[in-house]
Amino acid sequence: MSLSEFEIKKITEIVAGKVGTDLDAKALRKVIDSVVDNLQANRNNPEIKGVTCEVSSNPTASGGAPKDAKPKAYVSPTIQKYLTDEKQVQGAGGLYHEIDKADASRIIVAAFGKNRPGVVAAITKILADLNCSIEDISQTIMQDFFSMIMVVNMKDCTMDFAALREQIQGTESTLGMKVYVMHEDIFKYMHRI
Amino acid sequence: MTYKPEEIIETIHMTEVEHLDIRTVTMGISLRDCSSPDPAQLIDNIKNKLLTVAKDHVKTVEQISSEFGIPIANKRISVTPISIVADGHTRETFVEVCKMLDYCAKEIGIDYLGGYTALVQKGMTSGDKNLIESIPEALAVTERVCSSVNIASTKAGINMNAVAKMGHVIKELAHNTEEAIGCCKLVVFANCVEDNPFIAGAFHGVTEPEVVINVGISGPGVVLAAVKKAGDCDLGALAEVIKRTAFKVTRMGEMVGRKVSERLGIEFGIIDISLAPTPAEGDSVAAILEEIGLERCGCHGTTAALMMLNDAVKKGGMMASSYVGGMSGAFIPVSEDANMIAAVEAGAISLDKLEAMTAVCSVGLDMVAVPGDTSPETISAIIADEAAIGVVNNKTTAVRIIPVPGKGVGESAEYGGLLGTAPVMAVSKFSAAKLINRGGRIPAPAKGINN
Repeated sequence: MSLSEFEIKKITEIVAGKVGTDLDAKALRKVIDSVVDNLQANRNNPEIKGVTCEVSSNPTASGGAPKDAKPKAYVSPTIQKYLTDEKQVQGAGGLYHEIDKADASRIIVAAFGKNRPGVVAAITKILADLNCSIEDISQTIMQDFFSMIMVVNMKDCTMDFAALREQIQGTESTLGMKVYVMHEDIFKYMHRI
Repeated sequence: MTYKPEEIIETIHMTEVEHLDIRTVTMGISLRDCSSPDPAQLIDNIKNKLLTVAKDHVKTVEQISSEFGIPIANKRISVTPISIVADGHTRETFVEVCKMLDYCAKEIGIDYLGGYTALVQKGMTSGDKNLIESIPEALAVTERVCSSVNIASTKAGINMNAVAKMGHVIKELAHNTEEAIGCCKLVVFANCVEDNPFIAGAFHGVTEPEVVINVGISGPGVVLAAVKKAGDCDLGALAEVIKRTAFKVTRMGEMVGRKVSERLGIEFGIIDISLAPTPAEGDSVAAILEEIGLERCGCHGTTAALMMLNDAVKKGGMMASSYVGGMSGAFIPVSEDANMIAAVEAGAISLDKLEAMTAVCSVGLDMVAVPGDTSPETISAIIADEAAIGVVNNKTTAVRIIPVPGKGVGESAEYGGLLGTAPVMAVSKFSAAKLINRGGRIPAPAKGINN
């Protein structure tokens, strides 16, 4: 068995995603084996584009890849023809590479306005219905002014970001609040080094 | 990773209230492989390449803008200097090429495309000469193509023959277009940069890759708000505040550039950290200078305040991005900055003060209207003065000057949109015709000989 560097990286990534804090050596070995088998089996599968080996597309894999594993950057064929060096596409690496590797499925939902009952309930109901999980929530009420900020993970969300945002912001008029939905990346770039 | 509520609110405030936006995402495209001795083939090659490579540009940038909730004001394209791509062709063919660029810009859905450019700091090839001579017609018959001519550099000196020629080109172009609007699309550079994402001076340098994404950020409004908030601190503390703000703004640009480049599969080039004003209320560089402590932009002390602002923005930006490039300094275009217009109208700022200011910031005399009867030699002399500042200080300077036909001091030219309103400014009554008509090349300064 010989694996490309990319495949090895992919395996490591997937395994890292599966390993919990209490996984023992035997169980770890089992996870690695299943991922490697899966990659091998899918190598010549025309369903699998390029070398990304999307194991998650195979439901029989033991657990499969974490759903939020970052897909390869899309390169349109017309542009590909003008690019000679694959590395150029990947950017400069370093700090940015680390940032890109981070979970890209987190979003920030923030609501501001005059305090009234049911704001958090209205927004969390939408999130729950769409299978989003709330990772952090904070709210403050100053005099009569209400502000709430949530960090939401939408990796299992049944909707894409634009639709989700539209739906959450659809509550603005009924709640009488200003609601913002933004990718976490913006805050990460701006406030963290 | 968690965030403090004030961080979230600060970011939202920046985009919602303080006009933080990405000014431009510019795709640089090499046209070097489009050359052909056959004019029809040449034009066809350019069309095919531009429409293929840039077809997803606008769509992708808009997607990123809506996904991340960051306004991106402009999508633009820069191409290899056309004097190189079409060298050997006639003046008429150059005009045809310009029309094709205009057509492609329309098809792609962008407002401006830069690169109708010649680099003649040391001398002209036949292609350079034909391009420059075609400018008055080419920019009059097209809407979206921007042109630039580099007439000086620290390494080569100042090509005074080209300087003299540009005086006539600008006058003729002013004459050919309504309210001389054609002159808004023409920049005369010294020490031009090859990766500038900002129109009108953008072009895709010959040392650049096949395709590249460059980003220009904005944010005078954000800096203004920060300076206001800082209150009565000393200038060292104020520089620190500006630096921190510039850092955050630049990070936003960095993120957008990387996302667009990743989505399109095109290399990320640079981020230009220039402070670029717009005519919108509060989005003004002059307003920042006034907030720092000037009664009006243009009074004594303006150059010092601008130097501090420009330097602090650079320091913050350089920390935020490893690939700072382009112009990366405060812009001081007159017509595009509400407080600058007001300063001219109040008699607070003159052409001479603007010239001094260009010694400490990018870029130069930008969007400056002068009386319609200004002689070509005087325009050339203004260009030569700016070039001298650029050449000896090893920095970019530029002149985008508009001699508005039939108008004099006290009147103004109205362009609307991003170009704004240009009040006509007085030029010297005395002539430099003898200097300009001497021609030749001013030798490179000792500073340029540094090996």
